Amino acid sequence: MHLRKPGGEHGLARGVGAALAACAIATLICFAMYGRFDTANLSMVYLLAVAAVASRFGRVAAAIAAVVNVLAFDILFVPPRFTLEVEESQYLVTFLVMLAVGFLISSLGEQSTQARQQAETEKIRNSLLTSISHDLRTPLAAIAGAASSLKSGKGDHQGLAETIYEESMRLNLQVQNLLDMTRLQSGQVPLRRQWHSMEELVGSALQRTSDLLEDRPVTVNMPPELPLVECDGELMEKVITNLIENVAAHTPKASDLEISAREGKEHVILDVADRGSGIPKGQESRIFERFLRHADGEAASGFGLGLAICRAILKLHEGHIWAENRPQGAGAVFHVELPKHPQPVVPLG
Amino acid sequence: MADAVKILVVDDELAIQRFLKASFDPADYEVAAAMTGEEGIRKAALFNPGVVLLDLGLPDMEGLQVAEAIREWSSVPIIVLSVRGQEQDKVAALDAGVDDYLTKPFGVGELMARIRVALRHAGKTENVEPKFEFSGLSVDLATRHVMKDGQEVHLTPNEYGILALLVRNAGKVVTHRQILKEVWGPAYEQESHYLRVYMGQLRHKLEEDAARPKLLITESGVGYRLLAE
Repeated sequence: MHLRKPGGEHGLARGVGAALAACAIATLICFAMYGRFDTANLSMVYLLAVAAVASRFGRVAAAIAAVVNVLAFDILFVPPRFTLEVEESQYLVTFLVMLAVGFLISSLGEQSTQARQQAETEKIRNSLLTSISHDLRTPLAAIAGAASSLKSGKGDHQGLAETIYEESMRLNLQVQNLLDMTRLQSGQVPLRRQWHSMEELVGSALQRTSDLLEDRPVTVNMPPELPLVECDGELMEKVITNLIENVAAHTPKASDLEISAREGKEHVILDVADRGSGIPKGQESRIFERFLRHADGEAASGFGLGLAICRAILKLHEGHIWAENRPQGAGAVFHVELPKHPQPVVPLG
Repeated sequence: MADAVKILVVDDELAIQRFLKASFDPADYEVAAAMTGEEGIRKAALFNPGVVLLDLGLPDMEGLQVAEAIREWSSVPIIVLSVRGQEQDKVAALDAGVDDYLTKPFGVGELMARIRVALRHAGKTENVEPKFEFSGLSVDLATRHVMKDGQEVHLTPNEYGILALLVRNAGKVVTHRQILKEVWGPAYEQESHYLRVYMGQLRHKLEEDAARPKLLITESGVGYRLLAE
């Protein structure tokens, strides 16, 4: 898990803004205090401003705050006023101390943020380990149990062998999901972008999940003129596979699966629709979170990571994925949107 | 045992060795094992197998190196065993002369299908079978006639070129590079988008449902396979 710098992505912009704001506030207060208080106390107000900025916005913002506040203090309140000159050179010490305090507090601030983030990471890691342990052990228990029955010669051999096979495949799925999620999280996934046919990717995904789908009625509607999409084929196939697995896991065995695609103005959109019981109202974005367990008690297959992996992959592709209940009849539909790009030239013949 | 096919399994995992050995009926197959690449190369010469199953994750050398070494003096069919995510290794092996691949975990059905295909192609002499027939598709390489469910299908030259290559390798995977090189030339080995378009066209002409192909199968990240059984 990578730790975020204080302030987040737009930290610097916000930090500078905060530094300037703090300075402005300090200045107003000092104007109110001027004449009634020693310059020493005015410098304390500016120091407070620097400290406040340093504690929340990081080292760079702290440095900027220190400089800005020192300048404001110098120009506005240190005799001769409204000039940069200083009558007494001890104010140089004031300035240096402000800077030092700014750095000290910002580093303390960073440490505390890091500590908080580490605690959070620990919590997530623990819940992850518990979840993995359970989800790996369950199929393993089934496999071990079936195998030991076979060893002892008891029981319906064919049925036991089938159990071992199915549970092994489930275990493989779990492990694969876990590996995928880890890779995606670590940010170390080089996208191998190539031109792909959505129809081909859907075909591959259906092939991969054919055992899972069994005799389920599957309809595929792909317009033949659909543009090629530029994407990492393996990852995009994974998205479609996960969506299909999601349908297989949460809808009745014989209910429809409909996959279709269309061309939008700037996107190519893939729709995966089912006839299950739909998504509980309000949960449409929550389902894409990791490690979700389902209300119906059935553990999500693959650690509840399938949809989270889809989202992470779409993000990498500057695309979107979202879900909604179908307007007509029961069930849910998942939309996958990828940006459209100018098509490559393919020679005729 | 005279007709028994000899299988050499080069894999350092005991469990895989055990499973593979148990999968072959001793009446039809004789199985030898090698636990390292070096042993694999040696036994390929000594045991003279009909098929080599080669794991890509060997402890002492790259599976690719073993394949290249064997290829220096033998055209014995080699099927590599690898895991998902090792697509580039598979492609490198295929381009280096390996015949096919299996992704772990695989079932015995898939394994036997691959071996059958490999043996069928190895058993042929220089002349390729001119006629292909499966699942409603029939292709006559001699007359260049393509029929689907009894109806003649017209293919463009490139479409035919791709199909013919797949037919000559029926049942085996053919990499993107091999197809592009064969149909367009070595300078076009990177133009995978040609294949996306042309395979789509072929599927629309030859498959009942282009989005759920039963003949022209996509081997993700690797290439394509024309199913023959």
